[in-house]
Amino acid sequence: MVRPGAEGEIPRLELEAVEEAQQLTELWWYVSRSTGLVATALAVGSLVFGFLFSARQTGKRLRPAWWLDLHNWLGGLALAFTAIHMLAVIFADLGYGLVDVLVPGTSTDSTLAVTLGVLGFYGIAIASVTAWRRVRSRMSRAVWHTLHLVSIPAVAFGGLHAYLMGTDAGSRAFVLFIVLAAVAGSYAAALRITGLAAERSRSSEQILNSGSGRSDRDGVR
Amino acid sequence: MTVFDDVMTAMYPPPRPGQLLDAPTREQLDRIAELQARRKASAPARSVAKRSTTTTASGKRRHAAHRSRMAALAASISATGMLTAYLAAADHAGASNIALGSSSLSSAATGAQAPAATTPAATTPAATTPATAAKKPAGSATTAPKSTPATTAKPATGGATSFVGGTAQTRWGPVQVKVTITAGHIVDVVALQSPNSHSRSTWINSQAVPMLRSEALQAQSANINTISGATYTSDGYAQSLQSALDQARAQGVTVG
Repeated sequence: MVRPGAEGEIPRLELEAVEEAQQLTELWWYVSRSTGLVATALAVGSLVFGFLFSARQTGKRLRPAWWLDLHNWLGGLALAFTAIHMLAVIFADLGYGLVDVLVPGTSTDSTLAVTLGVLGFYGIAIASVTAWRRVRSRMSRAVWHTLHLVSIPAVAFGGLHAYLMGTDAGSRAFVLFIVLAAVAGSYAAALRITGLAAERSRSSEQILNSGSGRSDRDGVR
Repeated sequence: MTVFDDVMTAMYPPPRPGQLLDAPTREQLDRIAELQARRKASAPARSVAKRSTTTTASGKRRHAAHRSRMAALAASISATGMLTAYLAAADHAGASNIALGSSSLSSAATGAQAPAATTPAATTPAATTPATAAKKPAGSATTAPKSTPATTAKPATGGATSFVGGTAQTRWGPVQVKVTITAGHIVDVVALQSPNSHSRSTWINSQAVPMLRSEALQAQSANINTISGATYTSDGYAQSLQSALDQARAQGVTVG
């Protein structure tokens, strides 16, 4: 706080120190906003790559390995930028502490928005860490897949968190970004779902066409 | 068993025990066996290609999307840098994160910043909420600030009378305003007290308080719009202003 001096003047050194401290916290404040936006973009990108990869919609030009590698990398980057975002929020002196950004529901201000953000962070963390080959090899495919699917609501929570916090929600660029991200994510998800449905119908046809499958399903014999 | 094997078995069924094979058939079977052996030999190489990482001749692991990874990292870092610079520039240019609940008031609020800077409130850190506070529609109330009753009425020069409103305790600290009334009109509102626990709050308030003052002068009442990003301050400001106006009415000074 800047206090007037004895003669009603603000001491110059004190003023400079306060201004310097304010500039630093302001910088953290802008870093927190920008890293949050970049983390959201990276998470959406990773999600889209993941959907396209699992839907076998990766085209012929690039190898599936390239898509998988980039999908994993984008997820890791999203996690790293989210972590930087959380640290920046603490350093920006906004009134949020370590507990507020790590424990869901503990923040007294904007509780819902902050809780969604924290849950989104954990979701991305779970998906990214379990994608590590060393971790993934220790669990069954079903368990890994279930944990990996957590990333879908996590990204949605991240977007909602950004919108509900309201800092940039009023800007047209932000709204455009959210709409584009939602469209890209929905399109990729739709491709995956339709691909999954086609795959299931194909496999069920194969079962029906094969002799053993027919006998098992129809109860013949 | 692959489809290839199925087809081959269907085309060339294995000989029954005791069956004699002629030379061409034997030749064909040998060729099939050779093809199968070749396929098996090339299978491990293909599975390596499916992996996201490969090992180079020097023994160093190389990712399939090595260049794209670096490009994504560089793009993310540069995007963060550019966004940070853009947000800072936009805030300092006046297009800050604080937006009025009613957009029609934005011009009035901007115009009010200069006169407000001459009031004592401008030199004291004013009331605030963190900038990350959720954007709420105008007039929406959050946790109701606790307030203490208005205290004093000071006769001012030129027929103007000042009333100090009660102190509204908000989540971030106290908010208290002093209103000056001349000939039934609110001519000035000064923020006497405000929370200053966070330096970020001080910065936000330098923009929020003049906006609130402008709104109060325009509305000529405590019925002012909430400033998104400064919701608690807005509520506390309105409460303190209302208590000052109530006090004025009690002393026979009417507004409007």
